Parts: sequence; C-alpha cells; structure tokens
Amino acid sequence: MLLEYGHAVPINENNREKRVNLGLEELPETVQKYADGLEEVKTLLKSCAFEKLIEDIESGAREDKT
Amino acid sequence: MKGLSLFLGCLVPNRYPGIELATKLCLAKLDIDCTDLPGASCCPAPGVFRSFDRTTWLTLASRNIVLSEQMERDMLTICNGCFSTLADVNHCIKEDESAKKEVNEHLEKIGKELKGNIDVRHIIEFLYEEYGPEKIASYVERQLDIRVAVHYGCHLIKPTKDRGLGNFERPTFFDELVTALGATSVEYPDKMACCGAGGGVRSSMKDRSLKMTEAKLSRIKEAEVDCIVNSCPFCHMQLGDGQSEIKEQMEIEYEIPVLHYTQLLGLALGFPGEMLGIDTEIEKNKKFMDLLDAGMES
Repeated sequence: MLLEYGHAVPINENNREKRVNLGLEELPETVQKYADGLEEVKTLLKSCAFEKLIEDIESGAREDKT
Repeated sequence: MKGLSLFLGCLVPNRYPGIELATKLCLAKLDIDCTDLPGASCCPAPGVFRSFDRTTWLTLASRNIVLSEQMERDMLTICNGCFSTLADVNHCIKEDESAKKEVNEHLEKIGKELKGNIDVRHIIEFLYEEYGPEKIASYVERQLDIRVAVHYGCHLIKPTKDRGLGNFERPTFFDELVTALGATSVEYPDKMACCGAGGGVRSSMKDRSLKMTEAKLSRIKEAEVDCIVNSCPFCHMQLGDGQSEIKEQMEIEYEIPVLHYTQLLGLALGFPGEMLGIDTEIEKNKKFMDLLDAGMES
C-alpha cells in the first residue's frame, strides 16, 4: 500500500463518499491529492531500497514454502 | 509560539473523516492558527515500519517534517501513532547528526533538506500545555453530563523521558481535558493497558489483539460509562469496530460508543453530532446522543 499510494491505509470509495457527505473535499490534503508528492515518496522508497527489501522478503517467504 | 500545520496521517482522512472535520471545527472555534499540510504521506506507522526498516521510517517521516518546516509551522498530530513516529524522528534528527546527515542524503534526491527547527505536537498535549483545562472550559457551550472512560493509548505517554507529560502510570492531563467539558472521567482497572491494536499486533495476530481489546472493554463496561474517549484513530478503530468483531468471534456484545476527543470537544463546543461524524444510524450512538439531549433539556 505504502509503495503504491504513500499511505498504509489509502482512501476507498465508501470514505470518498463519506467525506463529501460531511462537506469535506473528496480527497484529503495528502499525497493522494498531490501526484508530485506521491512521486517524491516513491523516489525516497527507492532511495532507501525499501522495494528491494520487500522483494527479498517475499522471495525468501516463497523459498520457505517450497 | 509558531502556527501549526495539521498532519492527517492515514486513518483519520481515509476511514474516520468525521474526526478530521471535528478537529478542524474545534481548532477554528478555539482560534488556534492551524492550516492544512498539503502533500504529506503516511507518517509512517511506528509499530510496523520502525521495526521493519529504520532508514525508510526516518526518511519518510523526515519528508513530512520538512513540509511543515517549509511552512515555518510546528506539526499537529491527532493520532498517537503519528505522534510517536514524527515526534521520535524529530527528536532523533535534532540529537543525532549522523542520522540527520543520512536522512538528508536521501532527501536531496527530491530537492529537500531537513533543518530540525520545528516541534511536533499532539492535540491532547497541545491543548493541555498551551490552553489548559480552565481555558478549554471557558469555551464550552454545552456541559456534557456524562460518564466517560478515558483511553490514553500507549504512544501518547511513552517513551516518558521524551514526552515529559508526567506520571505514566496514573497520568491525569487527558482526564482533566475531559472533565473541563462537564463530563466525569471514570476510573477503571487496567486503564493504561493497550487497546490491543498497536505494535503490529492487529495486523499479524488479530485474534490475540481482540482478546486484549475484549479484556479492556469488559473493565470499561463494569465501570458503567456512557462512552469511551480516545486520542488515536487506531485505538478508535480497535475499541469501536473491535466491538463488532468481538461480537462475531466471541459472541460477547458491547454497545459502548467510542469518540475521539475532538468529537467530544466538538459536542461541548456546540456542534451537532452529525457534523462531527458521529453516526446516529448506529443504535448505540443514537442512544448516546439522546442521552446528551436529555441532559440539555433537564
């Protein structure tokens, strides 16, 4: 989730609607609304080798199962 | 004192937007200078990311802090988990030059630099330290004649050496903010126990986390309160939605309304429940609002 959306818990349809019904903007003032901000997060995750860490763990988990 | 930027995190805007609105309404009514913080991401969550990869945790949190530094504002959090990450990272980079240097090497790739010149606040400690219960009480338009179980949550008070909020076994600051609204903060056993969700327990051991929650809810129920008040959307979810999950898994029924402090404060400041995201289509919430209305009429 973090790699794709910049949030551990991203917005969903139900809560987009809930926000509008409350009178809030459909998307909050976070990376979900700002594509350039999300790109920055993705750049940092790459710089920290977070994606590779996830891939290594997932491939390790797969090997454990075989 | 600097102005504030509101750090939303994940759960508040994406699952409990009523808490976001309640916070904004309360801050405006209290004349607190607080603006949005455009482009912030997940804090990232302390239980999972700090233990999983410290460099990523430090770097992403630092980017969020830089956004607020660029606005020359301190950050205001409304979540204990976000407070834990952002306050701890902010403390770390102010104290540890090598950590700051490492973080800035990553931030350089997006054209940003962390200076370490702002503070991170949590709304509960901010209201207590900067306003105090007496000043909060002076804003109250609707005395809340109810019995409340206060749930502090872990990250608001620990690590105690960094938080500086007094006694961590029997703290009173949150209770005082609740009683300022006319409510009674009811003591109950194991008050300082975890809600059951934190530290990645809900994600990795759901059944065990719900057992912890059930133990806490049983103590709260015995105290015969009208609602639970928390300062964290993760605790809010565990103590609130957890009641439905406990009913399903253990066939034990709890019907205790759960509110974030900003929602309770909003009620006391005169806002209607529906503006604060208190869903009265849920029976327990309707009973709670009826109780408040009855108290106003008598």
